[in-house]
Amino acid sequence: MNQIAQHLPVLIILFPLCATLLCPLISHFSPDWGKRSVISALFLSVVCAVWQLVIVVSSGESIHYFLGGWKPPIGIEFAVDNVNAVIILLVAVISWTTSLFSSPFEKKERTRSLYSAGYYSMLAFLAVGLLGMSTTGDAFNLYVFMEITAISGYGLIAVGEEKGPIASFRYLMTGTIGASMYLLGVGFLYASTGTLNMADLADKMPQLTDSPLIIIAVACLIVGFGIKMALFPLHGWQPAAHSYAHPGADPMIAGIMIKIPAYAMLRFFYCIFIEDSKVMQLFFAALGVMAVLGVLFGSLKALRYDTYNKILAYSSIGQVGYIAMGFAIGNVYGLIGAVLHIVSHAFMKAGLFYTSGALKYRYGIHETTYLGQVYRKMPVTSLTMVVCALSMIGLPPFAGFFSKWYLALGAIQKGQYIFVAVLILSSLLGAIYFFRIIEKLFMEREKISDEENNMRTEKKGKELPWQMLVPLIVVVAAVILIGLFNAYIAGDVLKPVITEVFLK
Amino acid sequence: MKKSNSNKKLAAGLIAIIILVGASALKIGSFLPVIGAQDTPANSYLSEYYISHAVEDTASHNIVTAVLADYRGFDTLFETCVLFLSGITAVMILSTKKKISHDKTIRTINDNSEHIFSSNIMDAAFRIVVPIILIYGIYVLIHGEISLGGGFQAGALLACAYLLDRIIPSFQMRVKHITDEIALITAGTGALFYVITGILPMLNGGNFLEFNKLPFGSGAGDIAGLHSTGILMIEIGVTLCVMGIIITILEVVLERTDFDD
Repeated sequence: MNQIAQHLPVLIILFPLCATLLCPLISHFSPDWGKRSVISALFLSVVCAVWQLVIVVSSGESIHYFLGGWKPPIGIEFAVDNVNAVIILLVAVISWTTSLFSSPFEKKERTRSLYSAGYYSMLAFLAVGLLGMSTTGDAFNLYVFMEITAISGYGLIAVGEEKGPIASFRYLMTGTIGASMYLLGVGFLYASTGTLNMADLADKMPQLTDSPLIIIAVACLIVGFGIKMALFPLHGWQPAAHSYAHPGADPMIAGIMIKIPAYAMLRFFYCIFIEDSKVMQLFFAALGVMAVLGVLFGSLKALRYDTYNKILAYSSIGQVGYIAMGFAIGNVYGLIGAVLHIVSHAFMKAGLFYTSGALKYRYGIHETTYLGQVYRKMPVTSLTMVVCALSMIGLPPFAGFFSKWYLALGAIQKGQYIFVAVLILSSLLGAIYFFRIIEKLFMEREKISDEENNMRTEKKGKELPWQMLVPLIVVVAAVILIGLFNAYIAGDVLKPVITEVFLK
Repeated sequence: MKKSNSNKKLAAGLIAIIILVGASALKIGSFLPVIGAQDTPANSYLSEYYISHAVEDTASHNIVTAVLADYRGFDTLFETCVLFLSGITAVMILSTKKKISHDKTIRTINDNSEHIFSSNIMDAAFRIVVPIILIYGIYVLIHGEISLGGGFQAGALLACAYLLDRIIPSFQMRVKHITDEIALITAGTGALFYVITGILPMLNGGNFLEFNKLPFGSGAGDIAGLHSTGILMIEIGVTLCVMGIIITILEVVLERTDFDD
């Protein structure tokens, strides 16, 4: 038991990696078993992630795993502390539920066994990339995982709806610029320190606070991560990519693919660079401006659309703005709010995209105008939609309220009242566009007739296959539980690490 | 008229951005340390360690291999995975396009017993060139640890041999036709071989990819033997993966293009 526990950080990545590499071989004989191997490997990752979180929180010490047995800075290191472990569990859970969710889609579209293998390999690789990005303690290793995430993302967007290939091509162009900017930033850091290990970089920073190379590196990193996380002026690729991606994989793309770069940005800014220095304060001010504009832009733009996916995509731009706002506030509550918002928004947005996928699966629609009376036929989907929407607006006791609450506390403590005003204003705007959806769901006349309904589904009376219902229930449970236990998560799990490591 | 005007403005804006970035790049260059200078951080900290300890630590006489396959072997694993992933993505994106049936070309071969563009010279050249390429590919694979070369190049060379067979028109099929699915399975198995090389030390009490703890050779002290075995194993994995992916992409594209020459 102890021997397995010692390898947990790498095992979480190895399970889906082995499954995805074996997937073409297994699918050659039986596509169903190829799919099942990926789903069960991701489930094992969830189990390991829970185990790892328990170990890290109960011992209060971070885990360091040296790959190849080489001690850093010579080799690559995996470093897991409380914050990391929470993010890894989040990625594992959403990857597993998404792999389950897309199973009926894939079955419907399967033309030959290679299609099934390819789809599930890309999905598992997306999980591997995101898990790696949140685990690694090495700046270049992070780039490699970022590349894995990006390429599988391009693939999953391109195999989506009709406009998918174009959206994917746009993301490919901008995403490549983002990755190059990140690599350039790491190059400048290497030129001025000679090391790639994050802890080692942090040790070398105090002598280099005002070095011009470091300033340029920070600027490159902001642009690189900003493109990857769709921060306001760099968000151009995001709405199309999130609306036209494969409906089965969309929850993962929209839910966590833009959150993990945000988390990596947090790591770089608060663990490596010296956040009190004059230069970093200037950068944080710039980040704050981008965040405020992004929140307002995303919320206003979401009002304009009638397509469900587009509304959700633009609202994501606003929500990423909240996370950046937390970085810009930069005190304990601000950072707790940012991390908690990464987690809660990932669940909420994944949940909303699950409902979008469910609608697509059953009726083939994305327009909100067709939502009338759908709640009679799809009660669980509608419940998820309502819970996640209320959480997005920020109503207690759901998760979204508490992350915004911590952000507001941090802003008040620092005296930055403009952030509080923006938070309230955008929550009101969010209420407008989400209540529009909820109103259509319950009040509007029925647009999809029973006849059509019968034509489009094989079995009458059954809402969805069980593979699609499980993710919906998991997400609803997560949104409510994070809301109820927010004091424990924020106070006992996140706060010790944030005060000791991030704000030392 | 209006549209072309806005296009002009866009172009002007883009040119301005390019000039701005270019100018700042020139300025940034002056902050960077001089290439090859001894006292820069990049040259005096880690690289010094690698240069002075690589042979002793890994028993590899090629420092590039030592860093690539041993010190930072985990990065290389995922570089290989990036290739595998790109192959899958190519298959998935192109699978929406229709395949073009090659009945026509096959019929020409059967009916006239010769392809219109096949020739004796190309056939003879093929028979001489391909074995040489194959031998050179295996040489590059095995010799990668000591001199230049390694899995990536070897895989490309081996795939080249198949590529020649596929694109040179001939009197008869020379090698068995490999479908994209088989090629993809080969690539996946190759990358999995790399992962298994990493998992073996874990069963023996080491960390992932810790070659010192590989369960072969004469025990823990045999650095030269264990590291050479480990590096050779991952190079074989990389070779299989690269070869498979190149063939996959080639097959997927060839199935959907109609060259009429």
